[in-house]
Formats: sequence, structure tokens, C-alpha cells
Amino acid sequence: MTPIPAFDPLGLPAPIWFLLALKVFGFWVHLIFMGLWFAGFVVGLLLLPSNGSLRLAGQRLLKRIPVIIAFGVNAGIVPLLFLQVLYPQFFYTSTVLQAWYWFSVIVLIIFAYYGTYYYVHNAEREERKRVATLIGWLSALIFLFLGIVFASEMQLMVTPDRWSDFFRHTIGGAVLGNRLAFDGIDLQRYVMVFGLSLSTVAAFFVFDRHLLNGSSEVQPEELRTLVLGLTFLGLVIFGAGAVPYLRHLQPYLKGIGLWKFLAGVGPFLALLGGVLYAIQPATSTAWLLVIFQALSLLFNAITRQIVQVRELAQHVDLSSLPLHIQLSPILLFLITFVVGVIVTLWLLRMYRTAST
Amino acid sequence: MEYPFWYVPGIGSPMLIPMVALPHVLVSHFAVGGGILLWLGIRKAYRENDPDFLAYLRRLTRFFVLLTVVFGAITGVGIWWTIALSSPQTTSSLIHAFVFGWATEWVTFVLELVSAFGLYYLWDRLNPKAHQAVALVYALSAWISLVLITGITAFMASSGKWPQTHLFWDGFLNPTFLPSVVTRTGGALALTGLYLYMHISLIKIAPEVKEKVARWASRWAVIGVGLIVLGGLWWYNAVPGYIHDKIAERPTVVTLAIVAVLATLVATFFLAFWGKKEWLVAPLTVLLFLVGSAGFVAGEFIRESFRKPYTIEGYLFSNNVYTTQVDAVRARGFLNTAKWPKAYLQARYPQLFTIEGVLDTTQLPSLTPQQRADIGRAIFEYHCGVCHTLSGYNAIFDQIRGSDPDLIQAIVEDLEDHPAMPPFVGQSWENQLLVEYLFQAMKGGVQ
Repeated sequence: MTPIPAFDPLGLPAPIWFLLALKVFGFWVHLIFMGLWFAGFVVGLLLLPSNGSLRLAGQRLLKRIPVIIAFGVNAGIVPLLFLQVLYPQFFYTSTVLQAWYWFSVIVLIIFAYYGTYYYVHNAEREERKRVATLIGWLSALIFLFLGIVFASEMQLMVTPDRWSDFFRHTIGGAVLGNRLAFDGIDLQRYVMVFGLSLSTVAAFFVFDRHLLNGSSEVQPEELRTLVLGLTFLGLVIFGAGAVPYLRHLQPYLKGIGLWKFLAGVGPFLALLGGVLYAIQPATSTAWLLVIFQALSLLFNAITRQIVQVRELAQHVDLSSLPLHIQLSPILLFLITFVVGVIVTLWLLRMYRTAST
Repeated sequence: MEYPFWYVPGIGSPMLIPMVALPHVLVSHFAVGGGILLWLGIRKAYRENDPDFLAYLRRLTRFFVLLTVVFGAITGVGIWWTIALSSPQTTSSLIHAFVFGWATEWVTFVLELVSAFGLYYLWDRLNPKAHQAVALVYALSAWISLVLITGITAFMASSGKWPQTHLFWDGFLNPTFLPSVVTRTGGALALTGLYLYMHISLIKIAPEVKEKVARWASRWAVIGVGLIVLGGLWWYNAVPGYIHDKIAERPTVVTLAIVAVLATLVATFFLAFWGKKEWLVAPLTVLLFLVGSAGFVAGEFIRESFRKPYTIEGYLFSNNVYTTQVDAVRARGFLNTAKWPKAYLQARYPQLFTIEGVLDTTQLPSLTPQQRADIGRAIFEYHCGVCHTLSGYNAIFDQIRGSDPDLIQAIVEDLEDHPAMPPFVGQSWENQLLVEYLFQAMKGGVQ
């Protein structure tokens, strides 16, 4: 039996609900962006050999990947920050136990990120096209691999009973960190996120075409099959992960039928959006798909959080932890956040004027 | 005491921190200095109606954005990643003390991204007023980000009243906070100025633009170096006494930092007021940039290494023992307190533990030398491994070679007598096993 570290003696700096709300919010925003490089990069590359609107839609997505990564990585900081506040004893331990893989995330992201820039700047230069495509695929594959590391980490974190397997590989009790915890359940989690991401990519295509003043050369009539296909495939892949994963989660799902239902219905909502768009590809149906997909991701983020709290409740009772509320730093953050949103909107308005 | 320790052969896991942190610190200071200089430069270009200077600044922006948004951002997260892997207990303390400081910094980083991409993608399309406004947001958000992070990093070496109060502002507004902000702001300006010298000496550029950039960059570099000197002296007066002792003990690195700063000061001052553009040749500017960077790295080294024996001054020792915990751990013994080495030994040597899970020292004589060495190694990894390796970086063999085991045991007993060392919190039998192991390992007797 491996030990679980004690919670930090400094206690929680804010009420649990507040920390959880910020964590879920950050994860939701991260999920939106992350889906676009996780599944979107591959989808975009696969669309390149096609003709007409599909190729153009793929190119437009690929061109935006560097910016999407920047904001997605940035948004990913938020859930990780509050995860460390709420569950440091689980998070840190599970990262140390597979340390080299966790550490490799940073190195690989740098390679994949620069690879993405290289691809975007060179994909249309005839003399560098082949190398750029190769680097683009490598970057996309790295992002797919990073998903495996994250799925492994998040699952190992909530299953301390598995820690002893990793603690066998030590030198004088110091962990070697050269094993990755990826197993069947991690694969299910991974597959679920990939399915959700495919629907996010579909939502991006309609968002770009109809709501972001995308290129009018992208014909909605051609786009609709792609959108329908992606939302359908997204649902199937999500289901392939979710069905066995739900069986595993059964003990933690009691009494949260509504959230379980909403998380499960999310990809169906996205598919409904895809079907409506396929029937009538217009701005109104584009909005519907975007909203449905955003809700689907939100439901999943909330349900995942509820399940995480329940999985770890057998090891720690959050409500029993000492609470030392840092009121003025919280206010500083909230004020900065509001100011940040206002300044961002102001900048975006300037950008819109400049673009048009 | 609470977390598993990650073994990295040869260098030790904590040495991964500077590998990620030093490039990040350099790049993030570029982001700040570059942000400020871009804003000032764009203002100047519009004020003087100089499209050539503006075009030069555009080239610069591409570099800054690619470097800071990609490398800077990821290595910034990487520091956090790495410190959590090599020193989770310290990271947890910092997170629980300053999470809303970090959250606030996150907001400024979002603004930095939004404005950086605006400059990158819309440079030609923004009207002059909007262009300057976006550059101002970039500069301000990058600088505020520096201020917020400096509060936390300065805290680690000079925690002020925080260990007693545990209040956010007591920690954030610590004695070295303001001096560090001044020094870092100066460092950001100076480094960027030095980079500009190097940049204009390496690229093809119209002579009049080169002249203009050189003079303009020089002034800001001089101001930057001036701020470093001012902030450095202020910092020296503000740091706790234990750091003064260490500076006196290790003059080489301090001298290097001072020499680098002075050399940069003299060179930039000279170039600013008497220099000619012909002097800005690549070998000289690259050398200047390297000297400036070396000074910067030395400064970071001073801040980081002179903090020992603490990771958080007055609160947490580098061996993950809270300052308030020392006597209690000594009373119970290190291996009876540190959870993971204890779990390791319980799994391998269950006969050593009572039913209550307490290590029974009366069973120790039954162990073979190899088993005793194994226990000694566990003590070494968890008590010493945070800073030392056996024969690699900061090798313990180098410290004990030629000494007598009894002498080493006596030194370990009063380890805190050495200004950089935390107290040894084991009992005398743990000390004995540790020293036995070290000498056996040095002779090649154990793996």
C-alpha cells in the first residue's frame, strides 16, 4: 500500500465551490481550443488532398492552429492551477510516478508548436511543401500522443491504489518515473475526448464560414456533409469510449442522473446541430451547432468534475480541509479578470475594424 | 516528507529546473523589454513619421512574438511542471500561498497573447492610434506579469513576515519584492537593448535606420543597466542576513555578475553617447549580448542558490522539512516520518517494522551490509537527493572523499552549522546508515 501525502498545511485559499467553478470554467475553455488542435490538426491535414471547399476549410483551420494552441495552452493553465490547489497530494504524486512522460510534455509541445508554425508558414511554398507536410503530420501526431499522457495522468491521479505498481521501479525508494500508466480505462477517456473534439472541429468549420466572415469560397453545400460526418463520427467515437467507461464509473454516478444524462446527451446535441446544418446550411443553424457543441463540452466538463470529486472522496473529504480565505487576492483576481475581459473585447473590436 | 522523489541519474531532478527556467527567464525578460521598446519605438516612428523605422520594428515583432508566445509561454508552464516534479512540497506551498497571484498573472498573459497576435497579424492594418494602443497593452501586460511573478520568486528567498502570518500580502510584498522588480525591469530593458545591437549588426539594414536603432536602443539599455545597478544595491540591502553570509562565501559568481553588469554598462554608455554605427559589428555585439546574458544568468544563480538551505525562507527547508517540524521529525526519526522511503522499506523489509508500523531499530543488527546500504540509500535519496547526487552534479563523493566516516557522521549530526545546509532530521542510527552507505558506494561496494 503506497501512502497518500497529507494535504498542504496552508489549507484552501477560497471556498471549495469557488475553486471548483474556476477549475471547470478553465477546463471548458481549454476543451474548446484543445479539440481544435487535438482532432482538428489531423482533420485539417486529411482534408488537404480534397478539392474545393473542403480543402479550403481545412487550410483555414490549419492556418489558425498556432493561435488556437496559444490560447488553448493558456486556458489549460487554469484547471491545472486549481487542481493543484484542491488535490495536490494526488496530482503531484501521480505526475512524479510517471515523471519522464509528464516532463516530456513540455519538450514535445515546444517541438510540435514550432512544427505547427513551420507548417503554416511553408505549406504553400512549392519548394518546402513536402517537408512542411511531414512536419505538420509529426506535430499532429505529437499532439495525439500528448493526449495519451494527459489521459494517463488524470486517471492515475484518481486511482492511488495503482500507485504501488509504479513505486516498484525505484532506486533506494526514489522513483524512476519511466513508466506510463496508460491502460484500458485511460484509452476510454482518451477516445471520449477525441470524439468530443471531432464535434468541436465541425463546430469550428461552421463558425469560421458563417460567423467569422470566413471565405465565401467555402461553399456551405459542400461543408454540410463534412459537418454531418464529423458530428456523427464524434458521437460514435465518444460512445465507444463512454459506454465501457460508464461501467467503470458506476459507483460514482449514483444520484447525479441529470449530469450523467446531460454529459451523454451532449454529443447527440452536436449531432442534432450537424443534422440541422446539413438540412439547411445557414447562419442560424451554424449558431445552433456552435451553441450545442459548447453546451456539450460544458456538460462534460461539469460531469467530469463531479466524478473526480467523488472518486477522490474516498481518500479525502474536501469539506474537512482547513479554509483560509484570501479575500483581497481573490478580489484582485476578479477585478483583473473583469478588466482583462473588457480590454480583450476592446482589442478585438479594434482588430475587427482593422480587418474590415 | 510527503511526496515521492524523482531520481534523475547524474544531475538529480532539481537540476532540470534551471535547464527549463534559465532559457525561460531570458526569453520572458525579452518579452517585457521587447514589449516596452516596441511600444516606445512605434510611438517614436509615428511621431517622427518614419516608415523605415516602423518596418524595422515589424521585423522585430515577428521575432518577439514567435519567441515569447511559443517558447516563452511553454517554458513558463515548463518551470511550474518541473518544480512540481522535483519539489512538489515547495510547489504546493507556493500554489496555496499565491494561487490568486498566479490567476491574476494568467489574465495578464491572456492580454499579452491577444495584443501580441494583434501586432503580429494586423501590423499593416491597424491605424496609428490603434497600433500604439495595442503595443501599449502588450507592454503593460508583459510588465505586470513580471511584477506578479517577481513577488512570488522574491518571496522564496526573503519571505518577510509571511512565515508568522501566512498572509498573501505579507509574502508578496516581501523585503526584496520592489528591488527585484527594479532589477528585473532594468534587466529586461538592457537585454533587449543588447539584442537590438546584435540584431542590427547581423541583418541587412539601411545605414540611417541602423544608426537610429543603435542610438535609440543604447539609451534604453543604459537606463536598463542603471536600474539593474540601483535594484541590485537595493536588493543587497534588503535580503536577509543569511544571504549576505553566502555572498561573502562565494565571491566568484557575485564578481561575475558585477563584472558583466559593469562591462555592459560601460559598453552601452559608450555606444549611446559616443558610438558610431560602424562599431556595431557582429563579433562585438554578439560578445556584448553574451556578457549581458551571462550577467543575467549569474544573477539568477545568486537568487536561486543563495536561498539554500531553504526553498522558502524561514518556512520550508530544501530537504522538504518545515522549519517548525524539525524537532518532531528528529524525535520520531526520518524514516518513521518520510512517507515514501518508509513505504519502500516496509515493502522490502517488513521484519523491521512493528505491527503499528514503527521502525524497530533493535532489528537492524540482523540486516546484511547490502540491506543496510539499501536503507542508507533511501535516506540519501530523500534527505540529500534534492541537492546532491552521488558522483554527478554537486557530488556528495567530492564532499566526503579523504575524510573519515566518523568525522562525516559528526558533520552530518550538526549539518545546520553549514550555512547552506538544512538540519539533518534523522536519528543517530540513520546518520550512521547514511554515512556507511556513502562510503561503501564510494568504494564501489554497492550499486
